[in-house]
Amino acid sequence: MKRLLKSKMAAGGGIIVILILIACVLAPWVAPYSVKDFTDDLLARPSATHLFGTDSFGRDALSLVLHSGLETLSMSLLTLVISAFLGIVCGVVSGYVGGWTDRILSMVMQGIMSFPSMMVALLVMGIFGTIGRASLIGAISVTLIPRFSMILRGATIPARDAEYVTAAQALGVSRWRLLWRHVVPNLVTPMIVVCSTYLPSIILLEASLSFLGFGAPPDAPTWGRIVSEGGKYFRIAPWLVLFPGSVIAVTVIGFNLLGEGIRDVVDPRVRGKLTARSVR
Amino acid sequence: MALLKYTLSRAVRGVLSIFVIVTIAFFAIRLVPGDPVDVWLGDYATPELVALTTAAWGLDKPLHVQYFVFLRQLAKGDLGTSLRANASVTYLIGEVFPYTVRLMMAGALISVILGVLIGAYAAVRHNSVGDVASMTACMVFLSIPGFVLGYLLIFLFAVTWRIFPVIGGEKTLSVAALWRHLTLPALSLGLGYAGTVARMTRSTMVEVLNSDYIRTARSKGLRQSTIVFRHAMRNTLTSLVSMIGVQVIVMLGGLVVTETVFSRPGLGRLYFTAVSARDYPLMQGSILVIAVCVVVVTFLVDLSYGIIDPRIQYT
Amino acid sequence: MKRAALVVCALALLVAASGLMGRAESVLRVRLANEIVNLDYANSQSVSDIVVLYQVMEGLVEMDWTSSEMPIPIRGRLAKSYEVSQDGTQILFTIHEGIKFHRGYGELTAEDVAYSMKRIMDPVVKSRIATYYAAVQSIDVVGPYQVKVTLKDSSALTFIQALTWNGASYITSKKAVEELGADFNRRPIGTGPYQFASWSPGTGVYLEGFADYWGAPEWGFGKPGYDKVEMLLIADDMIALDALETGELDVVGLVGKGSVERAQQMKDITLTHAASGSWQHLTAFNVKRPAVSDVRVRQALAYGANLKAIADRLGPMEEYWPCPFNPFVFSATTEFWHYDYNPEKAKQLLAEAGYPNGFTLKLIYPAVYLWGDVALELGHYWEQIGIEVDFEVIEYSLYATVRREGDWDASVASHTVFSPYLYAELYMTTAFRNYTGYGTLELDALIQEAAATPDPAQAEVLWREFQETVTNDLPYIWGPVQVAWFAISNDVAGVIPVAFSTLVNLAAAHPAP
Repeated sequence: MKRLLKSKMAAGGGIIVILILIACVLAPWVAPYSVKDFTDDLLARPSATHLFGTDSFGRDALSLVLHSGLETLSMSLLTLVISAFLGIVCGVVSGYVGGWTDRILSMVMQGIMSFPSMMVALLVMGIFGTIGRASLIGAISVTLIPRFSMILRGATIPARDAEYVTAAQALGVSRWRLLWRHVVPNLVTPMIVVCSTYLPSIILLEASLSFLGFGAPPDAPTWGRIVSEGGKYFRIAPWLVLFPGSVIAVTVIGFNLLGEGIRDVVDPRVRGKLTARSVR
Repeated sequence: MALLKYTLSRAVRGVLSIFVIVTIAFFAIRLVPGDPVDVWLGDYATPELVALTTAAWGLDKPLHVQYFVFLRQLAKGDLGTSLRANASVTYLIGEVFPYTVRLMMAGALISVILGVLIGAYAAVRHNSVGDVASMTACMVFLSIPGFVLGYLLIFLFAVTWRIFPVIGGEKTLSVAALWRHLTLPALSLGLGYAGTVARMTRSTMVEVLNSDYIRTARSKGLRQSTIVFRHAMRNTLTSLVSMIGVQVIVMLGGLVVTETVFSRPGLGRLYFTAVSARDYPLMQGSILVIAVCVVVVTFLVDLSYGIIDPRIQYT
Repeated sequence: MKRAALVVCALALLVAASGLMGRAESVLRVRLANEIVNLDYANSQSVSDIVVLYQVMEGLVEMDWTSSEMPIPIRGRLAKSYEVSQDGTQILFTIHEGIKFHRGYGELTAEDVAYSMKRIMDPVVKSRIATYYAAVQSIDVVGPYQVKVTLKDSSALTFIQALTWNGASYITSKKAVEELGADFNRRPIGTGPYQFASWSPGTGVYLEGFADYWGAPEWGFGKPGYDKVEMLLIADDMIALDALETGELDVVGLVGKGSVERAQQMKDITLTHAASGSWQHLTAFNVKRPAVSDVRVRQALAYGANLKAIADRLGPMEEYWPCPFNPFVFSATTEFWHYDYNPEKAKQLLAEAGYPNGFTLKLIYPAVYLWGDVALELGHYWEQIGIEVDFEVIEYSLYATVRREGDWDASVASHTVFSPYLYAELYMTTAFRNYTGYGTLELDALIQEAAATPDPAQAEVLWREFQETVTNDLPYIWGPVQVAWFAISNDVAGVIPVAFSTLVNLAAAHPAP
């Protein structure tokens, strides 16, 4: 933790992330207007009363950005938690049970991973048919589960064969309990690192999906949806793209910096390590 | 000989993984509510029309029969007929595929060339103002949603300065047309990844430049440019190449947005239309082609390790 | 005198020479908003299919979109005349002579007319407009240029109205369909001013001026004004307008919110719109569901939403028009709409219906076109009269299925058809498309009677009765109606905006002098 604080990058990223988090969580109190206020002041320029201008419904764009920030971040976090959980389950089962279960699971996971996330998410969204929070989380999770699963599988296999596990087993401790006690805790830090790098990509992926009409619904917008709605007015009200777009960019930068900082601290070798990897 | 054996085993594994992807896709799209007949007929779906259309498209057969029909056609190199457009899938893909290849190559070139140059510059000027500025710029490009970057590029280069056209599809193949029509879409696709490449190049190079053998080279009085481009670069390339393999997959995903913003025909948009219309054969066809692309690129990337670093053995 | 003749000769030569030498190929570039799907007139699917076919094909009859009359009058196009028998069961179409098909498929004859119409009814073709022909008993060739359509009932007026839309009376060459076979849906053959040249998937459609075009003298179209028409696929309104600004496009049909406002700020273009709104937004109520099954609740929802204000807020593209029919349709009137914005009355009606504290209303919509905006605006008003609105977005391609399944209270959609009967069909108990579950046998009888009334004056009375009934019962709220707007380069003249987003008639288009 101390090292984390020392890293300039992580500290910078951390400050950005915390500020944005606070602003979004406190949205109902800090937002100057309610998003339920449809005024007749449509597409107003940024001014003292409306810092980010108003959107095509006459809503205050700043308030909208704050409110949807909560939506965006909670959606992204929930996606991470769900996909991490399912990824852990798949990975541990795959690595621990082995055999055909492992082979088939790995094949499916690798199949999904070798396909662009964007296209997998589109496919899943298309399959769900409804465009809402649940399907969005589902779609993005499908792209992330294999990534978590592969990491966990790789970590489980050596642990399965480790001596202390065999010894404990001989003492009659349940294998699953052992796994839970000894393998999973060791994975907490790498998981945090991975999550911190996936969070910004979830936000960006959602933005692209929104642009294609497969993202968050307009009645509960995310930042991505707001920017893509604003895109329709890019030439008459560019602030509807530029302000929320910058918010996305700043948030993504913040998370990236924080993620890199954490990675440096956790495993200084990872960063910039030159690996003359041999091809298998 | 080892190379041949390696190629063969890779080919087998490649075909296997393509097969897995296509099979997953085949069943995933069929096991869910909403079939193409409903989508196609929409408000006009009278029971008679539904029955007629379902039969005409062969969707009334059991799932496993449909799957074997699909496999048999595939073995003959036939991807079937698009339900919506009633044209052969091979034709539809063939029409747009060259656009995608050109866009991908141009995008990859931009991201690699720009990325390596910026990264090398930042590494040489480690911790200078230029380093911080260029790395910040890279971070920004990485963090803007793709379509916003596209809108900005069009606004600046096409509308304000009139250097490039707004519409991104090239009808002719003359150098001038390619240059005019490809630049903006390729920039929009490549700039984000240029950021990734630059950051990666920089961190690798900083480490290489601080290593013992570069210090030795310096002490021998070699010129800075020689050191950077001859020695440091070669070592950077290996990790760069391995990254490009991953980048290409990500970039393929970026195609959908780029092609939509720039009104370009291409695989991404074709895939998107197919998914929206639940056009099964077109979905399967485009998924297959994308999977083949991924496998081929990954293979080429692995092969190129050997060229960059002859010490690597193919096993 | 001699000198004058010489000067005239020299001038004539000069003009001829300059015409021969300097004549560059003239190209008109038109925007398409969505991908081409099927160019068979009997199976056209996307708006772009309709736009392309509108230039390539010609119908027996057509609505005259150059007219400013309401309802828009119907005129013969290929048909020189159409005579309806006294009892309204027979129509005799007499077509113009000497009209040529594209690509050397010969002259248009009664044989082709009968064939093209029968083709729509053929189950093998699986045409979705086959329902327009449901009343047809037989189609017979009675002379080289005459075709007689016999109907099962006296619905000639309704049949002719249906023929004006969706390619229902497009005529193709029998020989072409037989020769082209499966390729026909990608190589339309018609008699229109532009013939189809090619389609590149994802890019657009290329048309060529048809030198042998008959010119439709009564309509005054003349020869095609351009050598080539490129119809380019550009999904995004803003990008399409950018392309118009840089000269990459000449005619841009606008579809989305904000585009008209943007075009109003552009220089060197003409902004024009169709004579009448033609794309009606309508919000259906599922009368099988508890709350909205009560007509007082539906009336409360009508009183509670300020439709006028919504139309204004949605921009110049949307017009206030609370009527079951589009404005240009025969007998359309808004006089029966008496639900002017009155939130107090709405709350009172809700209380009377037993919902003094409101209820939860599931409002579904696909996030396409302006439907999402209509849904959000309506929902916003309804929330103010104490209703909790539960929004759900459905993917567009699944929308019809989800609506049919019926797990919703209100759903936003929009549609265009050209005859009162095709609108009224939606309210019939027998209609497959009647997602609301609304309808009575009396209303069915009224619709059937109105459709089978050959006398226009009488038919109008009946259609007005229909409009009054459904406006009182409110199975739908008819929201704003969308007007087709076009931004056109000042280098182009003679473009006729038709209806529906991006649908134009280019028959009279020519370079501006």
